Amino acid sequence: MIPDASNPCWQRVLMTEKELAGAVLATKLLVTRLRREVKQRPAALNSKIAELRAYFEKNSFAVKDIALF
Amino acid sequence: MKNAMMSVAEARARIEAGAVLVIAGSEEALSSLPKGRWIGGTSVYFVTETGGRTDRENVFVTEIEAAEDARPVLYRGEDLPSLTMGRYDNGLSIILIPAFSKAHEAFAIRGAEFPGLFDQPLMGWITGIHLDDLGDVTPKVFDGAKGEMHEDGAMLLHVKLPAGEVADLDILNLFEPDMSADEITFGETGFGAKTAMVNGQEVDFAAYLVEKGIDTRCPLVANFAGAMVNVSFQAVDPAAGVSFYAPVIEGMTYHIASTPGDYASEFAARAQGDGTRELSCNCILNYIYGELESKTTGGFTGPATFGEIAYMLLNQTMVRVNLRAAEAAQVA
Repeated sequence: MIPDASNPCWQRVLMTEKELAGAVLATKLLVTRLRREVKQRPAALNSKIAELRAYFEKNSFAVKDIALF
Repeated sequence: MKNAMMSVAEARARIEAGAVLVIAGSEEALSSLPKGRWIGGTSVYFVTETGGRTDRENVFVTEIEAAEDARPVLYRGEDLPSLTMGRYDNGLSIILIPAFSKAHEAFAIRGAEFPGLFDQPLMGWITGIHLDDLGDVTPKVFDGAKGEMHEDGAMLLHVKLPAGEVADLDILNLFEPDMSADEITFGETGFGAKTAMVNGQEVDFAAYLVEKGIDTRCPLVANFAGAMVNVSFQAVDPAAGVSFYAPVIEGMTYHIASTPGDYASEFAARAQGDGTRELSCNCILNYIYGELESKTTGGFTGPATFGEIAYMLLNQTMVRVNLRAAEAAQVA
C-alpha cells in the first residue's frame, strides 16, 4: 500500500538528509536526485513527491523502502 | 548467468547457438564475431578467476541463460533520453557507452533525469582501450544483431526475464569518505572544475589539491542516501583546472576518500555472494591502483572498465547484477 501524497512521510524523506540504509540502490539514487532538486527549487516539492510516488507505483520491489521514510 | 573468458572461436559458437550474450574484448576480437543476440564493448583489461590480466585476443563473455528474449538497440544524439524505452515489462537492460564520446558525457550529466531511469535495473560500463593506445584509437560498442560497430551512442541490450524472476542491481565500493577531511562542493555539474567551495570558502581547486598533498588515486565521495558514489580524478593542472572521470554534481557534498588498504584482499573479503553467477564489472583505476594484474579477487569477474554504470555513471566501483526469484528479492 503506497501512502497518499498528503502523507508526511514524502515531505520528510525529501526535506531531510536521512540515510536510507536497507533501501534498494534505485531508491537511494532517485531520492538523492529529488532532494537536490527540491533544495534548488522548494516550490517543486509537490511534483517531486508525485514523481517519487509514481516510482513506487511502478516498482513493487521497492515498496518496502517507504517504511524507511 | 554464466561468465567465461574464451577464445573468439568459442564465443562464435555460443552466438551461433542463439545465446544472449554481453561480450567485452578488443576491437579486433569483437569485429570478428558473427551476427547474433549480443552486444559488445571494447576492453582489454579483465578480472578473471585466475587473476587480473590484459588480453587482446580472447573475449570475456557473460551468457544470460534466463533470457526469454533480448533486443539490442543503439541510442544516440537526441534519442539518448529514450534509452529506457524498448524495455520489456519484466527485465533488465545492459548498457555500454564508448569512453570520451558525446553519449558518455550526456549520459553522465543528464542520465539520472531520463524518464523512468530507475524503474528497471540498468547496468553496464564505459568501454575503453589499451592505455598504450590512448590518442590513437577510440573505444567502441558493437551491435551484434546488425553487425555494426560504433564510436558514439549508448548500446543497450534490453533483456526479457521469465515471470517470477527479477534482477537485483547493486554496487560494491571500497572507498569511504574521510569525514574528518574538508567538505567540498561545486558550483556547476561537470567533468571539470577550476574552483570549488572548501568548507564554504572558494578556492582554486587544483592549487588546493597540490597544497594539501591530496592523493588523487583516492576519489571524491558523496553520500547518496547511504550509497557511496565516487568521482575519480583524471588530471590536476594548475592552468586548466581539475578534470574527473565522472561529473561532480552541483549541490552534492564531497569528501576525499580514505585509502581502502590493499584493494585485492579487501575486495575479496567484502564481495559477498556467488560472483560466478553474476554480471559484473570493475574499474580500470581499481585495476591499476590496486595492482590487480595477476592478483585474484574472488568470484566476481568481468572487464575492468573506463566507468561503471548502475543507473548512473560511477567510478572506482564494482557493479553487479544478479538474477533471482521475485519473492526472494522482495524479502532481501
